[in-house]
Amino acid sequence: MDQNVLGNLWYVVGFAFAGTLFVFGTIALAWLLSHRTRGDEHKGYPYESGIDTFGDSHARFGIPFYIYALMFVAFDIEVVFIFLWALIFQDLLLGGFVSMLIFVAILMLGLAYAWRKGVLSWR
Amino acid sequence: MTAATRSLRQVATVGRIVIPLLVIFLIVAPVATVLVAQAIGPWLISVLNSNIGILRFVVAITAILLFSIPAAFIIIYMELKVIAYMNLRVGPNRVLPAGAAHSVVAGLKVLTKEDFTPNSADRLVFTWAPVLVFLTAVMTFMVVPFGPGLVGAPLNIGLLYLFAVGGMTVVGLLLAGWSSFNKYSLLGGLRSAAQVVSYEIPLTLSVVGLILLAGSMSIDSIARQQSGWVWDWFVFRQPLGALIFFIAGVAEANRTPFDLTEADSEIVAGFATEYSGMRFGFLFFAEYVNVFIMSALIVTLFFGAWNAPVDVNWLLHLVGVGPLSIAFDPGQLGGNLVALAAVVPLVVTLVLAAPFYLLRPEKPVWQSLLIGFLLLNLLLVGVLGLSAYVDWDWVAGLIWFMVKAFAFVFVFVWMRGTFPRVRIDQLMGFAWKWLLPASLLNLFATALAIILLKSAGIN
Amino acid sequence: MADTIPLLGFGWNDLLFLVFAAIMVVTALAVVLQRDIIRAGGAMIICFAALAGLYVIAGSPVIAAAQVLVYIGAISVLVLFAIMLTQVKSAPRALVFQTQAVPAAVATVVLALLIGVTVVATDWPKQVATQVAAAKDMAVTLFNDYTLPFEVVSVLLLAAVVGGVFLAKRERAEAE
Repeated sequence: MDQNVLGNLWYVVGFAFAGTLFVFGTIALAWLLSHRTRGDEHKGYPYESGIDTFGDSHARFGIPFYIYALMFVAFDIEVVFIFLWALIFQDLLLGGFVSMLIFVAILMLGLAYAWRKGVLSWR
Repeated sequence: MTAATRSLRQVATVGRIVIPLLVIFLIVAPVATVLVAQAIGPWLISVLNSNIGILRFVVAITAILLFSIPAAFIIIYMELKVIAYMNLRVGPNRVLPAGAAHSVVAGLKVLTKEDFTPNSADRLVFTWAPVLVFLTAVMTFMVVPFGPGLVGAPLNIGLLYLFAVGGMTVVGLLLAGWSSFNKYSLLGGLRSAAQVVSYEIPLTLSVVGLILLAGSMSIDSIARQQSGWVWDWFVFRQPLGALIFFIAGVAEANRTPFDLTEADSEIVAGFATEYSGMRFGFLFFAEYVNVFIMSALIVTLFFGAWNAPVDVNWLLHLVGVGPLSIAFDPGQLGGNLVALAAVVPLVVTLVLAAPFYLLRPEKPVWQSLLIGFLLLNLLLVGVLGLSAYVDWDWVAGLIWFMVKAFAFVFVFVWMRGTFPRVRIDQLMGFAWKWLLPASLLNLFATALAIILLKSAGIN
Repeated sequence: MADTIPLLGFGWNDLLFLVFAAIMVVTALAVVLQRDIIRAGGAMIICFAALAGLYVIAGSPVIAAAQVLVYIGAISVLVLFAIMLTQVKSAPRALVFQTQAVPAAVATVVLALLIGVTVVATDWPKQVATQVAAAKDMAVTLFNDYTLPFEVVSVLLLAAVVGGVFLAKRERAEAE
């Protein structure tokens, strides 16, 4: 096992741990320094331009958000393949070019379909 | 008793206690330091030597965390002051000359503000969301090379790691918006998620051209391949890629003109509406750190990383000098070093003070001496800086990297002072209908160019 | 630094494996048992992150990066969007088991059998991965030996995009 890879994993884990520690340390420091007031019942209400809240605050939102996320998943997977392809492209040359062109062209059909159906235009 | 005399008396009381303590401390501290160093020095050095890997990690994370704080403060100050001048205002001018410490004081203010959780918020998720947002910024810093060798961990798959970790911000923003239990927050979180997600694809695809050219996903190797002259920078071989990366990067950092997430005229402060105190502080801290990271990445990937725009060694070779280096080891001097350290500052101070004394004999002597001493310090900083620049390539690299990165930070601020905000339909349409096809075009054009060059026998 | 941890008797990298595995088990249980659906989503994200760590230990940093990029960066976002669309804040105490208990039990048994057969049939290596699957080697294998499966992946992705767009369009048409 390459020790370098595991060492880098320790770095990632360590950075995540130290970063979390830093954030919570600072929040704890702020908690010690800051003042706190109880206020009245209105203090804990969700902010809505100064009036009391009405309706459910988890309001229903439009489906376009979901479509963007879905298309993102498809293109994100494409990105992983393209990264690997680009890494060895200097050895693949024409054959690799054609195979990636087909791959992207098929995926582009999806984008064209979405474009045609008008889901790319925000409403 | 007037206020003035009362404060004088207070100063006197404080002085009576503090000054003796200070004197004792000044005498005791060096002696104690020497004794402790004598006692545990060898042991400490051996322990550190056998744990050099851990030591390197601790230094790296400390340096990055400590760097991110002043970086954010500088960017906030730049934003206040630069935009103020663009608007023909004065901007902050109270704390220190030209309000230089304004953002620091503002940061301290945030530290002392009440950290409030709304009644109906999901307390656990509400606390973790800003942590996640800030954490992605810290973890992205890990692969950014500040200079040759000055990188947390030079991963082989650096670019992939970069976008993988960078993409985690979305989750933090989304959870922040949802857990606040506020209509504005939810809408802000959703908007920023949709925006970041849409611009992530062009952002990642725009660097594929670099991988094609460099044949490597390591950020360090991409940086090294840009050494030499200005025209060796990748921006001249990937102009479209650089442009797409810049636009998508601005959108990823949620900056003007793509700052829909905190469009205060529409949704108050977006996902940060319900946040207060230090948790709010971290959301904004992360935003400004992200501005720096985005500038640093643009510089690293397209604008020559830490390389100087001129090839110094080539120039020197032209004149007939080899690679420049100051080969001077202070240890050679032995005991003379102490004498030198005692005499040189004194002599140079006197020499530098002499002209002022001769020109202005009517002024007190101590003023000329002070001027001489300050000039000496400037001279020493200059000489030491120059020798460090020449001797250690990481110092030169760090200086160039910072200059370039903050130049791009300035561009970010400039855009904020200049551009109006785009509409959300323009924002999303632009990402999917223009940037994505353009980045694919760039990718295949680069690939085709490589094929043509190879078949033509070049490279 | 010592190769093995004092008192415990195994290496630091094994400790890393244990930590990731423990996080995975705990968060996976939380995903199933947590009634607050958004917290279940959060546990799922942590589970994905720990899995990425396990991939690195198994010697494939590229797969780990792809895991973080695709699962945490994209699929989690999709799941979170879906959760926010449903508007159900916490699951009912009695889950869908009431109506689908029999099919669920059958599926569980089949899955357990499948996993069991696989575990028994696999020739497990005696030690951890000895070499790292470098990104370049993976790419060479993928684009030389597995070109056709690679192209088929794009068809799969196309189907996902078209299906999603179609459903969304239908929903919008019904709303109007």
